[in-house]
Amino acid sequence: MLARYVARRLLLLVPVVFGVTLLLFFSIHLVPGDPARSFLGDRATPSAVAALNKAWGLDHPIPVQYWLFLDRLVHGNLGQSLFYQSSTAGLLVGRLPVTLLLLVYGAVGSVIISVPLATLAALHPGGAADHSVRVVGTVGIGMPSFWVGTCLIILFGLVVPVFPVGGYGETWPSHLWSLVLPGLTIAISVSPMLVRSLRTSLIEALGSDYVAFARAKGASPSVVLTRYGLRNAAVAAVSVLGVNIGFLVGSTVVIENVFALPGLGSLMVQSILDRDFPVVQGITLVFAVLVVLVYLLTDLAYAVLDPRVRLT
Amino acid sequence: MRAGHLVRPRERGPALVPPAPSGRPGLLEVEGLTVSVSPPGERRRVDVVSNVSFNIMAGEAVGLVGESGSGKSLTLRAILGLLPAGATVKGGAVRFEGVDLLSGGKRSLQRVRGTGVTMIFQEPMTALNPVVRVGEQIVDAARRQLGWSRRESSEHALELARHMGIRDPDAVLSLYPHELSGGLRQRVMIAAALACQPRLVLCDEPTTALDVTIQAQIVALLARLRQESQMSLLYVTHDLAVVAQLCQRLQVMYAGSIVEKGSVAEIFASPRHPYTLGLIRATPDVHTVVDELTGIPGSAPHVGARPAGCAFHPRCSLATIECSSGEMPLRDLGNGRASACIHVDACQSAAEGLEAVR
Ligand SMILES: Nc1ncnc2c1ncn2[C@@H]1O[C@H](COP(=O)(O)OP(=O)(O)OP(=O)(O)O)[C@@H](O)[C@H]1O
Ligand SMILES: [Mg+2]
Repeated sequence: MLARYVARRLLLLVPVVFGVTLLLFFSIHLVPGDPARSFLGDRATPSAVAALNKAWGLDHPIPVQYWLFLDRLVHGNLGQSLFYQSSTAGLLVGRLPVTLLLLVYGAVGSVIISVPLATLAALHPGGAADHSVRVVGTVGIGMPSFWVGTCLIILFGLVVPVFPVGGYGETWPSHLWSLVLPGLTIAISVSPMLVRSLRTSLIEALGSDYVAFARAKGASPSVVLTRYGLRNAAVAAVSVLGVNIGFLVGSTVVIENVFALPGLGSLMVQSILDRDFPVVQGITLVFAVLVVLVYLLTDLAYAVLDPRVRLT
Repeated sequence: MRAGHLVRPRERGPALVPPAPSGRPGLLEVEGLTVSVSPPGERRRVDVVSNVSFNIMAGEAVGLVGESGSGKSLTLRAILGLLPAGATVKGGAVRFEGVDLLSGGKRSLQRVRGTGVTMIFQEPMTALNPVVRVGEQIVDAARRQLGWSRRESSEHALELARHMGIRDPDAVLSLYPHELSGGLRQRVMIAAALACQPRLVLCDEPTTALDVTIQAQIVALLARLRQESQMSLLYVTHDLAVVAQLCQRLQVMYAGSIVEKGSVAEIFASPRHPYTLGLIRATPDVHTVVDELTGIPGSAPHVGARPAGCAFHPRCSLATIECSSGEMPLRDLGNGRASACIHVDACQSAAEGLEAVR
């Protein structure tokens, strides 16, 4: 049942990807500027520009270009980067792990931050801890992620230099280490929403009959909090987390630039500046697929957490 | 497998336990319990349980009846420290085996819950954790309290389920609450409540949410369990027939106070409070002549709108001017009976008609 559900959801990716390519392909050609000219510089001769356009396939009419693009896409070919001496697919595969890891860090980090804060707030609604958590959350929601990132850089770069504040390092341990601050930045921007949702559902769970009955049975406070309270609160919170992480896929563009990470987001910015159409298209496509996959994972987690949910 | 921790009879005594000699402390003693809430949209506090006192002896089953909103559930929840948000204990004492549960803090409550006193709720659908398999819910508390291993726990769960009359327990225990029928869910809840062999079970209308045939099964199950283990019951219900079947003593609540108490047989034969009389008259199972069936006119007072004097007087056919002011404490009538009515004699003669019809 689960496998069929996943298969059907993955099939849904096809129209999504198609729609994205369509939107993307035509909107990018509305952008003024000639890639061959900007590549060759202002003083290039018209014949040199024309030759390059022909080499890149840009001399065909746009619908034909789109058709050629789709044709290559179904063969797994995202085209040749106009700028780097490499295929787009190759470029993206090299950059993807950074962005994926960053998202995983953000998701895990936001859970690590949110669960204790929400618990603290929900155990005594209206108490001092609850108010403090709410104030911190409200401030957190108001802070844009580039600003949070900059603050973290200042804090950890100048005040307590524990984590690297930029770059990705050369080895896997240094990769993992260098993603801490960027991941924290994502986590901080997701946490206020997650805390709020967790707090609400935890208060509801702790006031429920099943918690009263658990206490009446003699269940210890820790069992009541985890297996009855948080376990039930997680059902609602996982959707909030999923939606936010999906939303944050796009904001890796900002965060990777702030922290100079060689991920898809920073490549995206660079490729837009370079008018490297194939790469921009490829990244947008990957982002779209990522968002859909995050939502799929969210739905699966939801179904696993709540046995009442039927996957159909 | 061991011969069943539940099945082992503690002491096989007669089903009906005679009233304990006075002077011996009860298993549970509730003294002057007062619970207050804020009426919807208001800031003032009003008492919805006021000055409630009663004892329950070991092995005894006590019924608690009264109209909707009379404070039965809050009384039960206050005993176990499970009041909902917004309701607070304003005064009084609750002692279980001499240990004060209200002022003893969380520690003493935690020690008593499950092993000493437990509670069965009205709605098994909402009282069971929707996302955990019922087999785990039966033993999750007991496992910690009694130090069972994982294997022992699942054996105990099976055994408890079987003891509650659950057929095919292996299959049932791996299901989630929403996958069970109402009657099965209630059996699961009873199994979970009894896992630690509590000495007293507070039952808050455990059969109201079930259909009639299942109700009878659950009542029969509780009666059997009580005979086997000598546990005490405080049984809240609207159904006087169930009280007659299950309980030795009865207390009647109206608008937050106990207005009459005594042995079930005596109260049914001759109620000493007009409200009790009205309840009995409105119950077909006890008073079988349908022509004589009459509801109680009017309706119970709303929260915070409790009439002065006897709260029942606006609905009472025996009410006089004295009923509308002053305190109406429970007055001892001897032989374990008490009534808050100041016209006990008039009530007695009104009840004689009841007996005549019978
Ligand atoms: N959490 C709460 N906040 C405010 N008022 C409450 C709360 N819980 C109960 N009450 C009020 O207290 C009164 C007593 O409630 P309780 O649930 O004890 O009644 P009950 O006798 O169990 O009724 P029923 O037979 O319907 O279960 C009711 O009037 C109810 O409105
Ligand atoms: Mg109730």
